[in-house]
Amino acid sequence: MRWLGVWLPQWELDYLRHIHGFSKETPLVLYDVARAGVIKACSQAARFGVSKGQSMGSAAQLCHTLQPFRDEPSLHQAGCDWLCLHGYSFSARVVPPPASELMFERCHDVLLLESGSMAQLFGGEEAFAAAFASALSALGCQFSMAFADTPLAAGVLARAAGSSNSSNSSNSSKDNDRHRSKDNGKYQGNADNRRHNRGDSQSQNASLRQSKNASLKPTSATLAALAPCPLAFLPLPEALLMRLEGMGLDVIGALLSLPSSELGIRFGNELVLLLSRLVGKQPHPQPFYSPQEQYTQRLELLHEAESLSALVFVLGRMFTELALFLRQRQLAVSMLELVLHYRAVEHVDRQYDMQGHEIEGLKIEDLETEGSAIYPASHSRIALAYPFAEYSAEGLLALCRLQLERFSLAAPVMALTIQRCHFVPRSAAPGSALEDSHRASLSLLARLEARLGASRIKRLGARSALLPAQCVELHPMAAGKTADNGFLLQHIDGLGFACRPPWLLPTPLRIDEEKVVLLRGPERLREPWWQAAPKNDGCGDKHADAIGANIGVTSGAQIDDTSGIERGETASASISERDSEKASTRTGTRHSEGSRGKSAKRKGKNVCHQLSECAGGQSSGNACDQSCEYSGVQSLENSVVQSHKNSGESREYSVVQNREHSVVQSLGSTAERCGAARDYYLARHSDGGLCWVFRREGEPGLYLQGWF
Amino acid sequence: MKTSAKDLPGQLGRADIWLGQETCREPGYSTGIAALDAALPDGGWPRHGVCELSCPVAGSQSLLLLTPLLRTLTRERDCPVLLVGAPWQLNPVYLLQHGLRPEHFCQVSPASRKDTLWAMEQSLGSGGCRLLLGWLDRLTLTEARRLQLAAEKGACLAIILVDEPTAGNPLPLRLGISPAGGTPSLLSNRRSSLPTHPGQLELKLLKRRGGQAQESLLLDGLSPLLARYLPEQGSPRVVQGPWGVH
Repeated sequence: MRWLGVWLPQWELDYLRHIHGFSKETPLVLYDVARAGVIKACSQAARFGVSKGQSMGSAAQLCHTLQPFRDEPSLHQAGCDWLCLHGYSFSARVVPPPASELMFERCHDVLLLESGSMAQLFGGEEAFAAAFASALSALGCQFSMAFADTPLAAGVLARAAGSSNSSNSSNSSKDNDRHRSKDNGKYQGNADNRRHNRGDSQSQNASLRQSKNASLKPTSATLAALAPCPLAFLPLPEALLMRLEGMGLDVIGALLSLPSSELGIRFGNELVLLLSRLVGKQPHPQPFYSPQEQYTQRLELLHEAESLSALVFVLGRMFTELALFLRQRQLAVSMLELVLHYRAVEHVDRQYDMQGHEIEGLKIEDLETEGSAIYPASHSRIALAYPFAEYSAEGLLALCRLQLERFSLAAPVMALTIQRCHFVPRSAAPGSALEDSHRASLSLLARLEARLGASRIKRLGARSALLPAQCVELHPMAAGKTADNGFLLQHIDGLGFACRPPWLLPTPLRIDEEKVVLLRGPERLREPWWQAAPKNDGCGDKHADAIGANIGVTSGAQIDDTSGIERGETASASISERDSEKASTRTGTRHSEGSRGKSAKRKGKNVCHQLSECAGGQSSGNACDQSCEYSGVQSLENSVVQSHKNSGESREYSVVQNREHSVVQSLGSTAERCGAARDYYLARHSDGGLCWVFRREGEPGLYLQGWF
Repeated sequence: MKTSAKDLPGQLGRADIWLGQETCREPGYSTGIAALDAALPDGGWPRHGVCELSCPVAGSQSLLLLTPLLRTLTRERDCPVLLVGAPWQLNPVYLLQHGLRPEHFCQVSPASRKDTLWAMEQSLGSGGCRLLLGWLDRLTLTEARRLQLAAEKGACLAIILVDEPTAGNPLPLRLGISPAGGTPSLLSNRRSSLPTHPGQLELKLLKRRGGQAQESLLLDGLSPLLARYLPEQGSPRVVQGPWGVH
């Protein structure tokens, strides 16, 4: 097994520089909160004289533009994930840098990539190293790399490669003229560093390639390369290093030449094990990075963001990371949650509640106080929906922007989290011009949905129902097309030449009889009596269907509870079923499923006998009657089936109930009887338009149902 | 500057010079009514651009007028027809009766006029929509210009139904509908041309690119289904209720 060791002396700072978008010249330091001392300083900070071990006060005096970051376990974890995520594009076996307190195990600040299995794919180890080096330099990392046969040796050699450069550069100014020209501009940019380091790694590479040819002794050349490396490159505790140095042991070669039994007696078994792992005498199992299934990314903002435009820049960087995650898995995201962590403000709660009502389609959950010690502030969660699964960073950001436009920040934002992504497989990329246009249409619909809210854009559908208004179904755009119009076409045939109006009123409106002139009719339809609930269930339940909760919505899991638009027939059927199950006091229409179906059918025939036109064309009267009867039965069966399907959905129930109150109010006292007949007329309005009105059986007055 | 005869074909190719009735290089979508096709400059609805259709009263049968266009477009392409800001609910049964499929229609109901205009402009310019029906109270000069530009960019046809027409809008086609009966509309200046039968419709060509505004057209039988359903002229067949149920 071959290993590529990549020594990244400031990888935490590289990570911070990348996610916060600092320029390459900005000096960054990592400091220990307890001791207020510098742990790591980047090369830009080092130019000002900032170095490890200094107090933060001294560091700040040396460099005014210093950006300090506290050293936290979460930062370590996030940085590791970031490095491994990028390393995972090159090798399936990636070992993240160990924690700084972990001794005798792995070299610190070293990312390991198993390269033996990947070298052939990239066309040799050199090409493999070059490809990874270009990726790292694109991320703005400082690094040096080396190949070796054991993970520890790879780490030590990578570090040696990096250190030889820096020692050369420090010596060069004193006496070594030979190195001066070579190391000019050592700290002037990562690209230069990379060139030097790569050169070194290649020289190591060359020496190691020779060892590979002599396959029986895989570690001999490694040993030769390791021998002059100082002991400090090994992950040894400080006290042990000082003891070894006190004995005159300062390079690895000297330590390796000592008998291991003696070393074990004097310094403990860990050192012996470390050395045998270093030279490959003992196996060295590695904790490989396994890519996370769930995606969570949290970013603390450097400055409080008070406007959405400030957030958009940050989100752009976050979505770039997400896009890489998606690309590696060939996934797309259909929904994710964006959490805005606010600075703690007392009045935030109330403001959110108001907003939650105002902003339709935007789910803002109740505020919770997070357990974070740093920001005990409230936060709001925004569900970002991508109806046509996005995977590119631009697409993710564009739709996110539109959805954020409907949202206003209640307090300055301190941090952002992207979490709870819902992944779906990517669909094939569009090829032809037709698919381009299809894609444009999908992206248009996604944009409209993002800006206006999912409840405001619906695809029209149809279903078979007795009352005209119940035939309407509105599907969410993401649900895709459903084209099962079989029942419905029979229903249409049954209508004969009874032309339906193109426009329906969501709720029938009472109008003055003087305002209309009846032209044609009546056509009798009966309200579905079997779906009505008993009177003691509350006024709202009586007439859900009978009148006007007429805008249908697809049944099933896609119901958007923010829409405020719900269907009529199916859910009210579920109301009666639920009620019949829970209320033992109820008398009346409790049926078993079989008897329910039968009775509905039987009643359906009765209704359909009345469906025919009383004064319609005499010539086709009989035929029309028969076909109406048939379609009526079909529609009844259909609706009974749907009522069974939906009987358990309590969410639907509550929404529908709200809806019904308004309906009943609009009809006033007319909601007393269930299953009344309606006589529909084609009429001319006094303003000149053609309309469709109905009169309820036994009631004065007309209701306006639709317009032509 | 004089233009010689041989330069003329080149000059005539310019986008800002129209040649009377012969502006159109590609024929438009047929309206389904021969008289109207003949009157419209492209031989029908234009392929793209914004048309203003003013319907002063509800129930003016505007969708009946557009049904042949909807049929042509939904058959031709799989793009959805967007209805932006429709005042009522589109009836899927009507669509099925007229050979249209409800799943081709997307209803967008924005909360404000600003959102309505935004949705229209986005849809028109996206290239992912072939026909948009929009409803507004009126279309101002600026709005008309922006929508027209977007429609040209996205090669989309938009028909904006307004309550009252705005004179001088830079649109290729502006029509006004007045249904039969009722009060005489502001559009018609001749009382005698008013339709009397409920199935009839007066269509006024307020503006057409490539020709002068014409007298109004009297259209009859927009929907054959409705025409059969309507009673004969002068003999309304109504049986008044109420009836009891036995």
